[in-house]
Amino acid sequence: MRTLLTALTLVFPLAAFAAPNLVDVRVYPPDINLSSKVDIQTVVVQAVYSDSTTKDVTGQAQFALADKTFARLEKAAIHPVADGKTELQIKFEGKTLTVPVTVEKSGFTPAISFTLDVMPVFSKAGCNTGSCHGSARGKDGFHLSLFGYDPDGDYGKITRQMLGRRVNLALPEESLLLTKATGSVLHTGGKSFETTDPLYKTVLQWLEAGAPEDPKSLAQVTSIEIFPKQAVLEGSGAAQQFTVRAKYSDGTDRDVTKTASFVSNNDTSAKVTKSGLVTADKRGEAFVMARFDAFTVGAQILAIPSDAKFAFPKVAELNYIDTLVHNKLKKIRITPSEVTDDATFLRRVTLDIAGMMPTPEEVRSFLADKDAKKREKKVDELLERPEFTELWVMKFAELLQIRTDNNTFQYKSALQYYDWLKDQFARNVPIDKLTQDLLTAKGGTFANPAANFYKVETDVLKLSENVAQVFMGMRMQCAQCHNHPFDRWTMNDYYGFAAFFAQVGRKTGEDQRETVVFDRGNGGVRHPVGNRDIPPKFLGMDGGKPNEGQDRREVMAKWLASPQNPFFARNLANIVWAHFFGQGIVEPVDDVRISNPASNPELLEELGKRFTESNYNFKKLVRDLCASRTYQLTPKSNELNAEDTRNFAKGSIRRLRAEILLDAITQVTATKNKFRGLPDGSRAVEIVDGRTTTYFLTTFGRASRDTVCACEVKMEPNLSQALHLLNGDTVNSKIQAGGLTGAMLKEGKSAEQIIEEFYWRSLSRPPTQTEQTKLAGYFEEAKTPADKAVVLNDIFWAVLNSKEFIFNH
Amino acid sequence: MNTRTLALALLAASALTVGAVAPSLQNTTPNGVQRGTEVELKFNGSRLADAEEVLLYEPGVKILELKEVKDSYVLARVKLEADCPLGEHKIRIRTKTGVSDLRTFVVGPFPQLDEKEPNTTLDKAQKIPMNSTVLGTVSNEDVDYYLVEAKKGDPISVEVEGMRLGRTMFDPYVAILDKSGKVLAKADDTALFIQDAYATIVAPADGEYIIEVRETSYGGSGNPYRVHIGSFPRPSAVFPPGGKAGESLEVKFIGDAGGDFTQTFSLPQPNRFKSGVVAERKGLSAPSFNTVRISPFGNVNEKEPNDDAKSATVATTALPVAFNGIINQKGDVDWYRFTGKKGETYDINVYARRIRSQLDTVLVVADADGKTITSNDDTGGADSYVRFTIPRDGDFTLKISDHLGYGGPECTYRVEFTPVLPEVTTFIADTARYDAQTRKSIVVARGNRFASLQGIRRKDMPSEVSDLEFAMENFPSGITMQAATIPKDQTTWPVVFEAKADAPIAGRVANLAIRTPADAKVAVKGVTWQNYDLVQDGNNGVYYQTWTDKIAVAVVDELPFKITIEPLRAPLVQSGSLDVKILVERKEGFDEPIKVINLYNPPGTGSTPDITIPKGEKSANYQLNANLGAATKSWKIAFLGSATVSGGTAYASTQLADLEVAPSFVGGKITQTNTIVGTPVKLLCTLDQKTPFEGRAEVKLMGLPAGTTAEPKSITKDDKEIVFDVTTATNAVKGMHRTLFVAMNLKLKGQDVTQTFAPAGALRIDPTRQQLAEAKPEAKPMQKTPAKPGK
Repeated sequence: MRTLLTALTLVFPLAAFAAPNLVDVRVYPPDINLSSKVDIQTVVVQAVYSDSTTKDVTGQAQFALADKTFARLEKAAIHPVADGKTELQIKFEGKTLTVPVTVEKSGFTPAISFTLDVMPVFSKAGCNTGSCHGSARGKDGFHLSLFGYDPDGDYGKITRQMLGRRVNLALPEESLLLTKATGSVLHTGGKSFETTDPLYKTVLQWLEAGAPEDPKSLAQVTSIEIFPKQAVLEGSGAAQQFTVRAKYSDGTDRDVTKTASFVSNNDTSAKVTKSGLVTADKRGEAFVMARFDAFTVGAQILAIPSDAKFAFPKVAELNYIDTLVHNKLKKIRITPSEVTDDATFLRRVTLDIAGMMPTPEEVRSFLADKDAKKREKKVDELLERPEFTELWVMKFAELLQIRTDNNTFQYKSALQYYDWLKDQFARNVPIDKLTQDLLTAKGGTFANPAANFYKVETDVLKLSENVAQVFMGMRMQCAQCHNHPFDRWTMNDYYGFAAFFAQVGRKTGEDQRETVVFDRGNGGVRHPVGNRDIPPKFLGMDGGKPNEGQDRREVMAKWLASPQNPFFARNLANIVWAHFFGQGIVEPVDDVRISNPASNPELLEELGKRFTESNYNFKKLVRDLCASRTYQLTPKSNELNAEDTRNFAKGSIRRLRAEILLDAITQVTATKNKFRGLPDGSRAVEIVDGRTTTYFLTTFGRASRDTVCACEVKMEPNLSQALHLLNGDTVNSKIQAGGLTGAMLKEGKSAEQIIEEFYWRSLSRPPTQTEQTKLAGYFEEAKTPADKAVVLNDIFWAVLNSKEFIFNH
Repeated sequence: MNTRTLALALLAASALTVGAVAPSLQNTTPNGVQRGTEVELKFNGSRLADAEEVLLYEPGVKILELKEVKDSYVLARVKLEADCPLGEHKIRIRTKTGVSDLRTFVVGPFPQLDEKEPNTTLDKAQKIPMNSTVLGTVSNEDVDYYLVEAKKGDPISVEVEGMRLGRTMFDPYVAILDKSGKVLAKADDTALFIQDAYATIVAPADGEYIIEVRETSYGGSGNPYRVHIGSFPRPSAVFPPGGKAGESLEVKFIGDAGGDFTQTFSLPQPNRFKSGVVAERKGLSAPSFNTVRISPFGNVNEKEPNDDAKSATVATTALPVAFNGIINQKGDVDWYRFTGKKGETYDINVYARRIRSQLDTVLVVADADGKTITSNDDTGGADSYVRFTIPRDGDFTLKISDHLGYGGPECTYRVEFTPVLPEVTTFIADTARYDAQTRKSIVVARGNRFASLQGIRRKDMPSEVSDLEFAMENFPSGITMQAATIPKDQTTWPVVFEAKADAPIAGRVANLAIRTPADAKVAVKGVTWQNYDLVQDGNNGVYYQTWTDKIAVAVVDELPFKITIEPLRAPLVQSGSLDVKILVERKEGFDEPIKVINLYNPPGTGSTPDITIPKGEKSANYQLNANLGAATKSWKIAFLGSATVSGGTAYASTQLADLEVAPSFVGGKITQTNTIVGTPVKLLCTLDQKTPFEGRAEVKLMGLPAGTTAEPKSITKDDKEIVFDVTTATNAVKGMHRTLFVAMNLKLKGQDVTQTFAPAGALRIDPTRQQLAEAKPEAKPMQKTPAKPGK
C-alpha cells in the first residue's frame, strides 16, 4: 500500500506543472507518542500552495530522527526502540519541521483486547452493519450490536453462543468466526478478509489467547482524529493519504489507520480506499469519514481540475460574507454571477423579508431612487415592517409545532403560544433569551404560554430529540438505539442529553385545557444497555451536572443557548441563511452531522460568531445577509458556475412557499382570506394552527407541524400545484372577487394601462414590448367592455400562472 | 342576536300540547337584571303553560306578578331589592304538573343595555355610557367593540361574565384599548374568575377608550355575555381573605388600577356557600364579590419578614386559628408559629385557589426549629391540606410557599386549623352523562308516589354512628316519606315520597336532611348539598357548576298511571334470581308504555337497567339476580316508572318494598365424566343441602354442548345426589366442556325461585376409535431436522 501511495504521489506532482509557490508544509500528527512494543505511528506530510491547492508530499519529504536509540524509521512509520524522547525532522523543499517523539513502555507487549482490538475488526470488515449481523435480528443466527454499541453483549454472543463452533478454543483456526469470515465455510456475506489479512491475525491471536474478556480497568477510546483535515486536490488522480489516531482514557494514543473504516460521500469526486488513501477524480467536493469504535470524524476534499489559466475576477466584496464565499469559490475555481437589477432585487428582498410583493408604487419609487445606498435602506425599511416578524413567527411556529391536537392541545393553547411567540419577536427579544425561556418554562400554559413547549411533546426522548434538532440542527434519533454510524453521537450522549428533560412534571390545570409544567425534582432516564440511570450531560462536551435541587433544564438551557454551545448560533444562522439563499450552508438545515458537512465551514463559523456577538440580533444578521453581494447575484449562471449548486455563486430560484404564494395572490388580486380562528383578512402567514389549512396551502406543501423536521415544508413543484393554479378555485375566483379589472375599466383606463398595472402588481415590472404587442392581439375580437373585461381577466390569470410570478428569483 | 329569536321560534314550534308535565326552562331574557329596580323578566322554555310560580333559591328577589304565561315562556314582573345580593340567582318554574330545570340569572349593580351590531371593527365601536352593563352576544368568530369616554386619571374597569352565566361554553377575552387600537390592558383568564376576565386601568388622558370583547381564541357561536364597563372598582384580591363569623372585618382590596383601599364589613354566620365582600368606591360597587372565608375562629395576619422559622409570625391565641398571608414576591416563603397540645388533631387547610388566588401552595408543618414533620402540595385541587395530630405539647411552625415560585401582591392565602368534625350530606347523582338536571327535584303527583335515589357523602363520621335517616324539612303539606335507616356502608339509598290525593298543589324550596336517629348517642346532621354542572365540554370537563343546599319539592296534579310491586313472598337467594312483578294501573284513555327502572340494587345483587311495560299490558316482571356473596339481609327496594304524558316525561314510583336476600338452598359438584360421541352417559352431581325447602324442586343440567341433552330431574331437601342421563348425538361437539351447571327451580309461597349451583362442571366427549384412526395422519418417516446454518 505504502509503495502504491509513494508511486502515486511521485507521478502526480510532476503532472501538476507550473505549480504555484509553496506556502506551507504541514506534518500530521503534530506529536508522536509510542506506548508499547507494538505501537507504531505513520506520518503524513502535506504541502500547501499559494493557489490553496495541497499535495501529499510524504513520499518526497526527507525524514530523520534526532536520536535513533529511542525509535526507528520505516518509511513514514515510526517504531519504538527504547523509552525516551526524541524528535522527528521532516525536510521538504527547503522547509524543515520537527515533531516530538515520546517512547514509553517499549518493552511491554499489551495483551490482545476484545474491545480495543477485536471489535474494530468487526467494524472494519463490515460485520456489524445493519445489513449484516448488526441488523436487529442478526443474520443467519449471529447477532452483533449495530456498529458495536454494546461490546459486552457482543462478547457474550461470540463466546457463549454455539459453544465449540463459533469459537473453538481447542482449534482456534477452526472457529466459525474465522472460517466463515475467510469464506472457507459457506458465508452468506461472502469473504470478509483473507487469512493473510492483519484483521484475521488479530482475531486469531485473540482466540489463541483463549478469547479473554477485557479487564474492567481497560482504557476506553475517548476520541479519534483524522489528518489532514482538508485537502484541495488538483487534477484527476491526485491523491492524499489520511491517518487516523485514537486517544484513550489512560492518556495513550494509537495509530488506527489500519483498523478504522473509511467512507467517502462522493465517490465521483474522491474515492477512498480501505487504508485511507483518497484519490481525486471529477470536479467537486467530497467528505471522507473515518469510523473507529463509537467515533466518526471527517475531512473535506476539494477536487478541482488542473487549470492554470483560472483567475478569479475582480468583484466587490461588500462584507465578510462575500469574502468568505469568494475564498471558497477561488479554491474551487468558480466565478460568481453578476449582480441583479434593481427591480428583481426589490421583489426578491421584499418577498424574502416581508413575505409580500412590493406594490407598483414601491417598485417605481425604488427604481427612481438615485441613492447609491438604496438597497441597504430598503432592507432596513423592510426589517421594521410587522410582516418581517410574522414571517419568522411562522417559521418558529413550525419548529415549535404549534398545532391543535384533539383533546390534548386546544386552539386556545395554540393561539396563546403563537401570540407569545409573536410578542417575543415584536419586542426583538434576543433569541438566546427566547430559547432559554422556552426550555425552562414552568407554570400553567395559560399563564405562561411558553410552557406549551412541554405540552406539545411529552415524551422525554422525543422532546430531547426535538430540542437537539430545533436548536442545534442535529438529528439524534439514531443514537437512541445504537451509536450513530455517521456522526459522533453515542447512546451515552443521547441518554445523557435526554436526562435534562427527565424531571419535567406536568399536571392538569384548573381549566382542564391547561397543563401546569413544573420541575419534579426527581426521575431520570435509563440506558437500554445495562438499564443504568444516566446523569445529564451536555451534547459534545463535558459539564451539565446540576446541583442538588436545581432544575436540570435551567442548567441545560443556560448552556444550550449560549456561546459555550458551538451549535446554537451556527444552527440559527444557517436557518436564516437558508431562508434567504434557498438552501443552508449545511443542507438540510436540521441535519448537522459529521457526514453532512457545511459547504463553507468558515462562512458558517463566522456567521455564528457574529450572530453571537450581536447578542443574537436577528435583524442584524438579516441585514448582513441582504447587504452582501452574494445575496444580490442574478440567477443567470456563467460558464464556470453553471454546474455548481452548493457554493452560492449565483442567485437561487425558489418557488414561493405555500403561505407566501397565497398571500401574494391575495395581495395582487386585492382580495381577503378568512381562516378559522383568525380575524377576517388575516394573511396565511399568520395562521396559528398547523391543522388549519386549505386545499391551496396543502397542495403547495404547507407544514402540518406534526414534526419539527425542516422537511415538513415542501418546496418541490408538482403537477397538482400547476393544475390548481390553472383550474383550481383560488386564482380565478380571486381575480373575480377582487374585481380589479372592473374597477380600472370604470376609472376609464385603457387595456394597455390595465395590463401594465397587472404586470407591475405581480412581476414588479412593466410588460416588454414583445409582450405588449402579443397581448394587444387578444383584443381584436373583444368589442364590448364586457368582452374586454373577460380578456383582461384572462391575461391577469395568465400572469399569475407564469413561472415568473410563482418563483422568487 | 338573531339566534335568540330563532331559538324561541323553535321552542314554540316543538311544544305540541299545552299544559304538559315536565316543564323545561332554558334561560331568562335578559340574562341578568339591575338590583334596586323593577323589571320584566322572561323565563323561556317549553311546557310552561300551566306555570304557577317561580321558585327562588336566594333572597332579594320578589316576583310581583306572572304577567303572561305561555307554553314557551313566562313573563314576570320582578322586583330586585336594593340590597339584593349581587351575582348568580338560581330559579325553577313550578307548574301545576311539574317543576322545571334549574337555571340562573345574574343580578348586577348597573343599568343594562343591549349590544348593537355591527360593532365588529374599531371604527364601529358601540358608544355606551360609563358604569353600564352590556348584554352582548358573540356570533360566529365575532369581535365586539364598545366605546366609552373618560377623563385623565379616571379608573376604567371592565368585567365580563361569560362562563359564569352558566349557559354555554364561552371563554371570554377582554381588552381596554386607546382610540388608535393600542392595547392598554387585556385579560383572558384570571385567577379570580377562572375563564371570565376583567381589566382595570387609569385613563392616561382625556378621551375615548375602546373595550374589546371576544371569545379567547376568536371562537364563539351565538354565546351570550354580560360586560360591565365603568369606573367601578375591580380589585383582584382581598386581605385578609377571611374572618370570624359575626364580627366586623376590615379588609384591604388589592389589585385595582385605581389603587388599594380598605373597607369594613360585618361578617354573617358561616354557610356552605362561597361568601364574599363587594368592593365599593365612591358609591360605585364592583359587579361581583371577592371571596372571604367565614370561620368560627379569629385571624392571625402575616407580619413580614417571616421568611424563616426563626422570624415566623406567631399565633398569640390558642388553636383553632386562621393565618392569613400574601406570597408577595417570587420565591417568597412565609412561616408561622403556633402552640399545640399533645393529642389534638386538626385539619390544616390552605385556602388559596379556593378563595381565587393564583397560588399553587405547598404546606410544610414543622417543629419549633423548622424541621419538617409533614408536608403537602396538592389535595384535590391546587390547595394544600394535612391532618395533623400534635405529637407533644409545645411550639410548632408551618411554612407556606408556591409550588412554582410565583408571588405578587395579590397572591393571598389563608391557613385554617379546624378540629376534625363529622360531616354528612345527601345529593342526587346525575342520571346520565352530561345531564345535570333530570330528576333533581322531588315532584309527587297527588295520590301517587315518587322515588329518589339519594347519594350520601360521609366525612369523619364517628365510629359510634352506625345508621342515618332522612328527614323532610319545610316540605309542602300532604307529602309523606318512606325510607329505611341507612346502613353505615351504603352510599346510595332509595327514598319514596307519597302525596295524599287531596294534598294541595304547591311547591317549595325545601331541605331533605340526613341525620342520626333521634336516639343516637352522637348527633350528626347534614343537609342536601346538590351540584348542577351547568357548563360541560369535552370529556367530563365541567367548566361551570353551581350548588344548592335546598331541593325543590312539589305536589302536582294527578297522573294517569300508578305502579306497584306485587308483594314479594319468596326471598332472592344467593346465586339465584327472583322475578318482581310490577303492576300498572292506568286511567281510562291512557295507554302509553311505561318504562321502569330499578332504583337500587342491594349489595351483591343486580338487574337489567330497565324494562318496559308495553301498551295494553297490566304488568311486567323485573328479574333480580344475586351472586353467591350477596349479603343475606332484608332490604328495601323501589322501582320508578316513567311515561310520556302530554309530551313530557312523568314519573311515578312503586311503594318501598321488602326484599329478602337469603342463603342458597343447595350447593353441589358435578363429577367430571367422559364419554364417546353417540354413547349415553350418567353424570353425577353430589349435593350439599344448605337450607331446607318444602316439596320438590326441578333441577336442570345447563351449559351442555351442542348435540347433548339431559332430562330434567327433581330433588327434595333430603336428596344427596342427582344423576343426569346425558345423551350424546354422533355429531356432538367433541372435547372437554367445563361449562356445565345445575339450575334449580322451586315454587315457594306461590312464587318461582330459581337458583344455580355446581358451576364449572366438566364433561369430556371423545371421538370414536374409528374416528380417531381416520383423523390421525399417515405416519411419515421421521424427517431429520436440517442442521441450522450455524456460525
